[in-house]
Amino acid sequence: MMADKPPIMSVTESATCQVKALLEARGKPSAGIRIGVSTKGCSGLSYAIEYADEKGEFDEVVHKDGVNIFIDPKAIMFIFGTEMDYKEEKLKSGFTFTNPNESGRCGCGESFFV
Amino acid sequence: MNQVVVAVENLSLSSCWSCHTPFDGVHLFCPACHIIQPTAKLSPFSRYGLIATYDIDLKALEKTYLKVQQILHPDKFVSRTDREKLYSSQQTMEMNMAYEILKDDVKRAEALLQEEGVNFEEKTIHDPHVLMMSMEDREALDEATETGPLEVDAKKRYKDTVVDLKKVFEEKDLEKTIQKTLELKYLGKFLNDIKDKKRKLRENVTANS
Amino acid sequence: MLLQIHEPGQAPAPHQSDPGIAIGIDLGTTNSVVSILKEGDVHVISDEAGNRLIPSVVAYANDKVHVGHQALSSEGEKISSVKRLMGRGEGDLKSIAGQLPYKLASSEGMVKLEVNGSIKSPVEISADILKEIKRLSEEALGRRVTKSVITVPAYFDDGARAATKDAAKLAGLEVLRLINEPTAAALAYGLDQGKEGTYIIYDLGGGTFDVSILKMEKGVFKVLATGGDAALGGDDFDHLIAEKMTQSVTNEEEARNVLRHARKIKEALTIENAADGFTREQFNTLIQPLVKRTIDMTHNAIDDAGVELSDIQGIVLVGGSTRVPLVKEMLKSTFGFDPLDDHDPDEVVSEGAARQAAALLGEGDHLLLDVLPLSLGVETMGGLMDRIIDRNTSIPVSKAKEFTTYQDGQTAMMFHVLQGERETVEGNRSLAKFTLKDIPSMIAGAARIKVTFSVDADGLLTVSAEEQMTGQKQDIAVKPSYGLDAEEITNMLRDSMASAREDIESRLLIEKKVEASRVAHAIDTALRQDGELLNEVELKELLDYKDFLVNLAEKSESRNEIKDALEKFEELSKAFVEKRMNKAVSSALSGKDVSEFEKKEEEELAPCLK
Repeated sequence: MMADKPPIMSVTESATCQVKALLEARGKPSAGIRIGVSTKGCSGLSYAIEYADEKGEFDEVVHKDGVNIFIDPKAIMFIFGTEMDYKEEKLKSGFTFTNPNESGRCGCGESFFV
Repeated sequence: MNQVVVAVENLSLSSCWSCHTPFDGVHLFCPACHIIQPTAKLSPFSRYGLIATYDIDLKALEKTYLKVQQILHPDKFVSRTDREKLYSSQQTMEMNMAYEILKDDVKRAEALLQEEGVNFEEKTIHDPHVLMMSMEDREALDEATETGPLEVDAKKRYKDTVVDLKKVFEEKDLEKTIQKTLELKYLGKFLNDIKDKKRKLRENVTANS
Repeated sequence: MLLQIHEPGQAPAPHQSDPGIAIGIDLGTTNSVVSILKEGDVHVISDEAGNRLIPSVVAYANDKVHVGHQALSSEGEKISSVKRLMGRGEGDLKSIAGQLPYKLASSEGMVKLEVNGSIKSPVEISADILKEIKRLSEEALGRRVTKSVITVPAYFDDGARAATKDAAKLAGLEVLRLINEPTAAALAYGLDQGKEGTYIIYDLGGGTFDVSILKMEKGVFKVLATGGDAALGGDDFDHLIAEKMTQSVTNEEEARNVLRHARKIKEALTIENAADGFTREQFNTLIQPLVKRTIDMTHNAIDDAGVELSDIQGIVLVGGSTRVPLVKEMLKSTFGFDPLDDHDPDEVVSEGAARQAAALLGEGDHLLLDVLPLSLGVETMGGLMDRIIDRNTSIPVSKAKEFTTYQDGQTAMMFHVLQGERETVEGNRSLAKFTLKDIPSMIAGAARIKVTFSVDADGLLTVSAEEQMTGQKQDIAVKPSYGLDAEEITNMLRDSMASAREDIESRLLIEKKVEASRVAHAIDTALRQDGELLNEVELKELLDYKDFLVNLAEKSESRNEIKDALEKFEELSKAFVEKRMNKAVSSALSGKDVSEFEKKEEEELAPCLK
């Protein structure tokens, strides 16, 4: 079960912690969260994070500190090697992905292309 | 994984320009990433998912046309990338052209016959009845001071000819189909001439009043 | 960018949270109107004096440019009705007006005017109007405005459309879409009142008449046919009255006065039965033939649309000249129902533009399907126009036709692109000329040259010609001969940039103000939720500072002042933010039986309790 291949991505402690908190607060049983890429952004692609009620058939799973993070197969090539983090700013907070593969970002940082 | 892609390409199928997922190349949107795709070379019929027959459901066609516009029209791509805007425009153009052919009783017939290798520039009406009628039509139109009755009559003949045409298409009689198509084309033109005359009569009344 | 976790399928598209705003502009010949859709309602933006109609007049005086009402009262040289010159070549001008100065410009290019000692193109003058519209909008909305939908008359040809887009670009406005004025009006009625069915949109302005037949069904607005007369409008009514007036006219000044007087009489007669010796009846007799002509053209458009009179559900009135009672009466007696006139005919076009602007940014899911108003083609042997795309074809559209050489060894072919409905070249508008060279030498009729016309959703044309055997290809955007070329636009943009330094400063100030009011709003919401986390002193301090921010956002004229205040506020609210976070975490963990945690591995909880 515990494969020894390198993990698809790394997850910081504050991220797992926040995911856990949010899953608890969701108020219904969840299998974990799912990370996908959506193609709606201004320069091609953007991340989308959703609650997952179950694991998708072809999803990759990153298990960290008791949290399941499913990765949509379409997203793997974009997610590979990134670090998922949770950040708090002045009056807002949210998750970030730092992606060494990235070659460009749109002005607002909301979408990226590889 | 790469080998799979190569194999698919050898079958001359395409892959999504954005996410590179291979697919049949006919879809408007990539089945994997849902991004709009460039246009494929398709007949007007297959563009609307129809079998190439003359007798088609025009109401259903209009519905499909509107549905397609809802998802393809450039207005829906204003905030997208330039490439997506371009594909949206091209896809809409193709859909508009195909719709124009399919909804028109004459153009639809011509499109089907062209598939059979018929060159319409070489074809003329042979039927002496039709020729005679067209001469009488001209005379009547020249003399008319009111287009109403002519229009009603011509519209009825047009409708009847469409019914006839459906029949001969079904019977697969090529020569008869060509002749009926030419007759319908003539009637369409005649209806247009009636419209022009109607316009002229209207303007004369205004000018004289 | 910080990402949030969403319920499956609910993740918003990037930028959806703030797609920006877009204004709807009716850039009229006489007046312009600008509107915006806010929370489902259209708001007309008025100028500082509260006027909703902005006169399309620009006054140039000693480096000062005044637009609208300010221009009317300005001492400078005034230019009005510049819309009539949009996209016009010199040759067209003579037919439009005899008195305009047009000694300038090269014979190839578009019309230019000499104004107060400098040379201006209609595009630049139009851009000055749009700049003012942009400024008024930014002031009214308190934020930057860069996107717009601009309406044009349905009969506007390719050159006039391209010129309008250029003007917007010069004014710093992106045109999301050019839409036709009657279509915009239909949109306003259809979306506001949920009208369905086939409607006549009857648009009688000062100088032009437009009529469109439009089918509205389940949120789709499909233009079936459009027609009209670019030289028939309410101004002609004034002329008819003026002709009947007894004064003899000896010079231009007097002529203008007589016309002004005639217009006053016309306006009075829309409300009263007699004015200045004219009765409503006399007036009606005078204009009856003109109104009859508009009704004939309406019948023609219905024919073109391929619908029957019995299919028509109603008539929408647009344009100030539809206020003339005879127009309404004749429409009613011809078509059998009262025309819809409950939207202000001067504002309804801008209203529709604002709705379409919002729709293009993703608010609302209606769809507008428009048509090409005038046929497009090329000149062929004998000075005739060979049509490639017929009018009333749905756009966007692309069509191709093959041509061949008519001489042995012919290696070049000239194409003359035309727009209009006449058979002969002279009767139509010349859009562009270009030559396809390097055709391989062949006997006459052997070369196959495919000419493709593409019209985009704005109604703008591009043409390409390709020799089929060699692939020798020539693309042309039909713009340069009547619009401005790219270099001219770049130069003008550069010039306007230099003078726009202060513009930028004021824009930055506006943005800072908006940020301040956003922060104030955010803290307000947070305090309402979690205010009890603070003691009274802390709470009061934050509330006071919030009020201070709101005040700054409204009144401050200093960007740095607001910036400093925002930084100080960040310091002040730090403690509160931390308390909120702790609360969020503990509330996520509360309500659980301790034994539940015990079932889980120790390490799962550890990071959260740091």
